[in-house]
Amino acid sequence: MAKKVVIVGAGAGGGLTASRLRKLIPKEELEITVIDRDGTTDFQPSYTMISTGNRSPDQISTPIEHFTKIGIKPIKAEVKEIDPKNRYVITGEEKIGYDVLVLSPGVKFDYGKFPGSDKLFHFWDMHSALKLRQQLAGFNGGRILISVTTKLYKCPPVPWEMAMMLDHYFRMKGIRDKVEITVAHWAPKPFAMFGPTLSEPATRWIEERGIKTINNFTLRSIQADKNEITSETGESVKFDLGIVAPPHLPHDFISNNDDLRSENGWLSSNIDNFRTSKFDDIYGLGDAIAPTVGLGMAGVFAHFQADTVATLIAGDITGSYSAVPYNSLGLCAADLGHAGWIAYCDFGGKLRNQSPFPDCRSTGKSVLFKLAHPIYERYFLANVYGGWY
Amino acid sequence: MSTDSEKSTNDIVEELLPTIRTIKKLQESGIMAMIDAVADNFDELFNYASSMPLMDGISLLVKIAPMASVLLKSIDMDKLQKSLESIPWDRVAYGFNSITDFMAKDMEKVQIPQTKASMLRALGEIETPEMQYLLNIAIKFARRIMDDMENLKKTEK
Ligand SMILES: Cc1cc2nc3c(=O)[nH]c(=O)nc-3n(C[C@H](O)[C@H](O)[C@H](O)COP(=O)(O)OP(=O)(O)OC[C@H]3O[C@@H](n4cnc5c(N)ncnc54)[C@H](O)[C@@H]3O)c2cc1C
Repeated sequence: MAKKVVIVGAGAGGGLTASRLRKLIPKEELEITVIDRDGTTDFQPSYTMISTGNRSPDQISTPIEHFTKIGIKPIKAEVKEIDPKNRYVITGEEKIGYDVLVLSPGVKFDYGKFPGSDKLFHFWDMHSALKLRQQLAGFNGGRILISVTTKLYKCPPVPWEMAMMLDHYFRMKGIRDKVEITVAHWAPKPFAMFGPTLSEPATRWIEERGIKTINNFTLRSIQADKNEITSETGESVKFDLGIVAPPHLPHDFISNNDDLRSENGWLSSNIDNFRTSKFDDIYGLGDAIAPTVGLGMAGVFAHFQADTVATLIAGDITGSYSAVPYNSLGLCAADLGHAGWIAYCDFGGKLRNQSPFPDCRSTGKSVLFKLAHPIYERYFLANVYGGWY
Repeated sequence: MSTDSEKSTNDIVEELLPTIRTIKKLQESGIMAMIDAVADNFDELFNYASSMPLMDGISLLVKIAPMASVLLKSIDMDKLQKSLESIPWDRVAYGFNSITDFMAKDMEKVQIPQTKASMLRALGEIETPEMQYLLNIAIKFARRIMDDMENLKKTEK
């Protein structure tokens, strides 16, 4: 009888695991089901471009129904609970059994954890990116502030990247002189989490573009009615348009489940085989495990983790192991508006606690590198859906 | 279907023929199979190729590119033209003639040896008849060029 793999989340980690597995094992031997709350696979790095009007939602988002074309069963539903002992995934309507479970549900935005964060704008999901787009289109001058509510959020360099994209946006609109762009961030320097090899050139470019930075700014409160935010040290910043990353937290069905969560409340996993600590038949990957394993929240991590997880599961099922070892390289193809920039880091040393920073380098800026983003965007969606997107 | 559209279908097929022939050749040569294998394993290729040394290589190319363009700009084109003019093109052309002549006349004379030469026996890797064929070509060709150059020198005297 065919084994059953259930995958929660059709994003970078879940979507790629599903399509990889389908290529590795035929339908007769393996039934693959993907459950997703929103019912789409989004190329999230392009949310910034949704906001600046350079992408439309249908260009970067594929409905999970397309999975049927490659022999994967899609279910649009929200997982509420997991019963690992009896091997069940429970949605509002159904109880779905599995032999192997893959969890890649990303993060939950918990606005309640940071009062006022729901009143501001952001680009960390499709709906919000579209709202920000409207706001930017009508913005004719004033102070734009970019900040983050939690230390961990999707794509660590994106606040500064977005600031550079907005710099370009308003230059093209011809009103850059009327717009003040500020990034207030907890880091001691822009891109500081990647070490000096990236943070030094990035800081220089940000200054050159006339973007203001307020470093070591850990957000304490948002006074949305006054258009003001305040830091832990009592420093306040006013704005006309506030773009603030919402609180990124683990999903309740993970943090409330002692069998699945690690000590910090995020999903349990490890970077050798991505199995949860208590259950061999449950794999965890992507943003949901980032705080547990000590990585940032990035699609490239989820991508390479999916390669390893899919080949490990295929090995479990077929009995022939040639799993792809986990590649801890991080790649970031940033579009800075006026140019593209590719940064790449080896996180191996950091993951083994041998160094405080990943070993990061960059190709330097070039207009040509602006193409890296759209090329990967197309590759990603085509790859998840077997060419159908 | 109307005759017009039939005609246009024929035209399309006619236009596609060279492409189809090329694809057939690519298939026969095994190149298609190679591309197929790369496409089949692209997931892993992308994973394995995403490495620090490879990315360093790309960075280096990006850094070298402006330098190369500076170097190109610093080349004195007049000098380059003069030195190109000073090359004895008749000799080069003569050499080139030798090659084409050799290909036309002597190529067929080289026989694929049926037995393995004892001299080559020790060298396992070049023991195959194909390798000997290539070696023979190389030897014959070198000899032919040398002979031609000798003749040229004699006529120049
Ligand atoms: C603006 C922005 C820019 C970014 N830029 C980059 C970049 O340049 N490079 C990079 O590497 N990464 C980037 N990222 C990060 C990257 O997109 C994420 O790290 C990646 O998508 C994580 O993959 P994942 O599978 O863990 O989660 P996701 O891709 O978020 O997928 C999670 C899926 O799970 C579903 N889900 C959630 N809860 C449930 C539930 N209870 N039941 C069922 N389904 C559920 C969701 O609907 C979603 O489809 C960026 C992200 C953003 C927002």
